[in-house]
Parts: sequence; C-alpha cells; structure tokens
Amino acid sequence: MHSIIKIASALLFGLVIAVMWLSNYDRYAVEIQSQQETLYGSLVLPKQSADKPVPVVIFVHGDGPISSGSYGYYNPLWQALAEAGVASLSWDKQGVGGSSGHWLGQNMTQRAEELSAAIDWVSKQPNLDSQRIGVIGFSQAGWVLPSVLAQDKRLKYAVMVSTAVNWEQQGHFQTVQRLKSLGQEGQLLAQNLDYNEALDALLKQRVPYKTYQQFITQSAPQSYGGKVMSRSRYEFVINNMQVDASAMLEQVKQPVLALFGDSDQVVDIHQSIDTYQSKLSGPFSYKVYEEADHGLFKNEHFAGIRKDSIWFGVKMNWLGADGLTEQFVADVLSWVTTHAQLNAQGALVDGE
Amino acid sequence: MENNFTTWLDKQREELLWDLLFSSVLEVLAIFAVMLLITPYFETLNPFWYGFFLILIPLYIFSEAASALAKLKTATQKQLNDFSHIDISAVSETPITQQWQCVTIKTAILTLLPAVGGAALYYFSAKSVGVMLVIALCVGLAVFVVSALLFERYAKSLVAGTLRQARSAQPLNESQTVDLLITFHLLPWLVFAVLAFGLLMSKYYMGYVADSGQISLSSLATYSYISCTFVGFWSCYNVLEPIQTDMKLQPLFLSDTDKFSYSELFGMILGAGFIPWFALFVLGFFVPSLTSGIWLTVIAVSIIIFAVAVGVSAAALFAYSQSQQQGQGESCAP
Repeated sequence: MHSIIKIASALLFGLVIAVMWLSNYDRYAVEIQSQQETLYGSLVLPKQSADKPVPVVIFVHGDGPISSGSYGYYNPLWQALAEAGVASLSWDKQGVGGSSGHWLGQNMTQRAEELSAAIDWVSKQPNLDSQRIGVIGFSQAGWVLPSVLAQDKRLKYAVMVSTAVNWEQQGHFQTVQRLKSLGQEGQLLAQNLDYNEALDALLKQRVPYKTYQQFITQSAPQSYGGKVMSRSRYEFVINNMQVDASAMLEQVKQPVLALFGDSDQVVDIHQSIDTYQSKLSGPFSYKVYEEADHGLFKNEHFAGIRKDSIWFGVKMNWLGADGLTEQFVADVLSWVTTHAQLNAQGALVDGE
Repeated sequence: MENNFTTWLDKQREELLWDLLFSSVLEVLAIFAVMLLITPYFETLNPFWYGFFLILIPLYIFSEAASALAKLKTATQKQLNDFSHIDISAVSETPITQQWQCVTIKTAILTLLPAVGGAALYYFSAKSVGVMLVIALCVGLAVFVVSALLFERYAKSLVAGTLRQARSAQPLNESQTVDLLITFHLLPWLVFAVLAFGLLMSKYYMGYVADSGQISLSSLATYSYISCTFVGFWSCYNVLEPIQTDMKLQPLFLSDTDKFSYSELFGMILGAGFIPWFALFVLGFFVPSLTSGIWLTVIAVSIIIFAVAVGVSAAALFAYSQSQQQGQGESCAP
C-alpha cells in the first residue's frame, strides 16, 4: 500500500475519533403529527444513559424558514442542556427540511397547536419525563407560547427570548429602527412613518395582493426602502397581524423567564418587559444583556452582518457559545435545571 | 527499458495519488458545504443524508478512481513510443482498456464500506454543523482511500490494456464508436451528474420554495439555463481528454461530422441552455409558479440529463473533428 494511502487512513481514523469526541449529545430524528401535517424533528438526549425519564425542553422557533437546529443556533443550548441531563426537542418548520406543509400558510394559533402536538408526543415517550416539560421560545414564539402555557398545565415553565407582544406595535418599532439606522430623522422620518401607517391600514383591510403591489409602486417614498413582500409572505402577514399576546398572558401561571438584548432592533424590549410584568399571573423574571442583539449575539461579533447571509451562519457555527452574549446559555441552563425539578404539583422533588 | 517503465509508473502513481487526495477531499468538502450552507440548510435530520452516504459516496469513489485512471491512460498513450518493447503480460495478466472497467460487483461492495461507515458515523454523531464538517473531512478521506485502492488495483491493468490497444489498434465502425462513447463516456457521468447535480438543484429549488412559498417559472428558467450550462461544460471537461485518448489509440468513426472548432463547442454548450430556458419561459405563461417538490425535481433532473448529453456530445464532436484534422495533416505530410 502506498504511503499516501497509509497516512490518509491514519488521519481518517483520528477524525472518526474526533467526531465521536465532539458529539457530546445524541440526536435522533423524530416525526410529530400535527393536524394534517407531519413535523420532522430532532430529539436531543444526554449521552449518559439515564435509568429514569429525563426532563425535556421544547424549542419554538421565531420567524422564517427555520430547521430543527436553527442552522446551529441551538447547538450551544442543546449541548449545555444535554450535559445537565435535560433533553431538547425541536422540529423543522412546515415546508422546511423534512416537514410537510408550509410555514407561510400558518397562523399563530396553528403554531400553538403544533406545540400542543409536541407536548402530546413527549407525554408518550417512555424516556422523557412528561411531568417536567419546559418550553423555550424565540422572537415570534411570543405569540405562540402564551396560549399554550395558559391552557396546558403539562408545561411547567417557559423561557422567552426576545419575544414581542403585539404584532403591529412590533412591526412599527422595527420600521422606526430601520429608518433611523438609515440616518433618517425629523420631517423625512415622519413622512416615511405616515406612509408606513397607511400601508398597515391597507394590510388590515386584507386587500388583494395586486392592490398591495400597486400601492407600493405608486405611493412608497424612495427613502422608505424595504422589500416588497412575496404573495405568500403577504398572506402570512395579513393572516397574523392582528395577533396580540397580552390577553393570554393573564392566564399564564407558570414561571416565565424573559431574556432580551439591549441592542434589539426588532422587538421593543421595554414594551415586552412592561407587559409581561403587568400581565403574567405567575412568577416572572427577566434579564437584559448589554451589547447583545435580537438573537442575543454579541454585537462585537455580529453587528453589521446580515442575518440571512452565509457568512453569518459560518461565524455563528464557528463561534458557538462564544458568539452568544455572556451568561445567556448559563442563565437558560440555570432556569431549566431549577424548574425541571418541579413535580406535577409544582413542588420540588428531593434528590432529583 | 523495464527500469524506465517502473520508474515512470511509480512517478505517475505518486502524482496521481496526490491529485486524487486533493480532489477527493476538496470535492466532498465542497458538496457538504453547499448542502449545509444553502437553504434549506440540510443540517436538519433528514433521510437525505442517508441517501447521500449510501448512493453518492460509492459514485464519488468510482468517479475519482476513474478520473485518475483516465489520466494514467492518457499519460501511457503519450509514452507509447518509449514503451514499445515492454512485455505486456509482465505488466498485467488481466489488461483492461477503459477506466470505468474498475466498476465490478466486488468493487461496488468495497465502495459500500465507507458509505455504510459514513452513514453510521452520521447516525451516532451530534449532527451539529461543526460535526458535519468533520464528517465531511472523514468522508473525503474515505473516498480517497478507497478510490486510491481501486486506482492501485487497476493501474497496471489499464497501462497494459492501453499498450495492447495501441499495438493492435482496430478501427471501430460507427455503431461500435457510438457504443463506446455511450458506454464509457456518457452513461457513467450521466449517472453521477444526475445524482450529484440533480440532488443539488432539487435541494436549491425546494429551499427556495421553503423560503418564498413558490418559485416563478421565469426564475426557474434562469436557474435552468445556469445549471445546464455549468453541467454541460463540466461534462465536456471530464470526458474530452479521455475521448481524445481513445481516438488516438483506436480510430473511431462518426459519419456526417464536419469540422467542429472550439468556438462551436462553446457555442453548442452555451446555446443548448436556451432550449430549457425557452421551454420554461413559455410554460410560465400557463403555469406562472411552482411549489411541487416532485415537479421541481423532475425539471432539475431533466435539465441535468440534457446538459450531460450536450456536454459529452460536444466533446465527442470536437475530439473527432480534431482527430480527423490530425489524420488529414499526417496523410498530407510529405
């Protein structure tokens, strides 16, 4: 055998060992049935085989076509949770990866039904502890989690990351931030915000897509910027823009931890915090991380990088937990491990 | 003379094995990167990856081994005069004349070992993007190791076969020529391209649909033109030199083939892409957009089949035209 082949074989053997060493959790493909659709998901289990069922955290995605691992974003959390003996469950959004249907055809009620289907699925798994199910939701999940938390007491706690309360207010806030980031102020900003208000009013009337396109073509000021939505996105928006989580929050009795970044340009974190504080019925804690964005990524690493770019994905996966704001993973882990020890009655289980 | 031959063969082996190492690792890394980074981001758990390991990896191994063997055949053809006194039976008792003859049931089973190994490694791994990239390196090296073993196993047989072919060159008639071109140049690359590029384009289209809800026929027409042209040139690049070598070793015959220049080769491949572009553009008046994964896969695969056929045909016409001109030049020479 040629020496090049021998060296390559040795290197191959070393890399196989490296894969096993780097794989500090087990990840299995699962299928969850939700209404007419099949959701293709990932169940992440701790490496050490537990003789008792393990607690589980269900991950609920934010906006966009997101796969079960959120392109690697969840990896630091999965890793930390698995090391602490906690399982994670997530799924490809409808129409992404192996899941049927299409996420743009869903409203927030349907997404909440998906979460309920996932809880049902967890309850039937012998290796998962149905008495210790928690949920972590990101951004748009702020309109998904409250209704399920209010109605399903199998969920014992929640972590809400950069979540919003009212769709319209969130949209307005995001537009203001975008226009300000373009350097707009005074008269110009006011003019563009007037246009945005008119656009929102049009969307609320659920006008046909062509009317929306015509309105954009005829009325959009050049300085407004922004993209014209595709037909599917337009329908998704008009089907969801009335959503407001505040009424449901009053019925949420489980402990909730809300985490935000102070540089969030998407969600008005002060409005979310104020609403959660005033409306949630159960224990509520929150934390605002400095120099962190909507995804709780450190500004020093990710400021100015488009979130949908390949470079963002490469950097996020390369940095892993180091790309996320300090303490985020530790705070989630601490909250989960503390609350996962609650039994069905909400009492701490000794020795767990 | 025997010593010269042994030294030459060792040097070729060394050079081709290094080439094989780089191309195996880089190509596998590239396809993993594309699969991981282009929407819909196949870091998601998906039967796709098992298909990738079990079907594409054996094909990759054969394509890498066949490419290296084809280079060895061309190098042998260039040294025919130096090796005119070599005892062929001393080189190999089982000569072969085509690089793709390395595909046998036994070697297919051998290629399944890294495929199953890769699938098992994937199954037991954490499947994070970082881990997937390390798996990609493993697969690249595994592809190299097995394709290098195939290369080593068949190198001497192919050299012997090439020497024998050159010493007793028998002109092929048109049907034999077409048979040779289809069996050893079109079909193997067609299978590989359909699975590799067909998969890539289907994935891209489905990612597009997952993102936007649909894909317009005008966008599909543009992507079809780009993929058709790229795969056309890729196929042409892969088969041109091996066909030229075949034509130098054994006179082939294609009737009604006139002069076919470089510019005509480029024009044929660049122009062919307009056929699917136009078909989809016209279809767009009746069906403005598509969402069906099955139809998108059918379109992607059809374009790849067409592109490979165009690329290999262009290479064959160009090689034949060149061989005819050389033949004429030689017959006109004083």
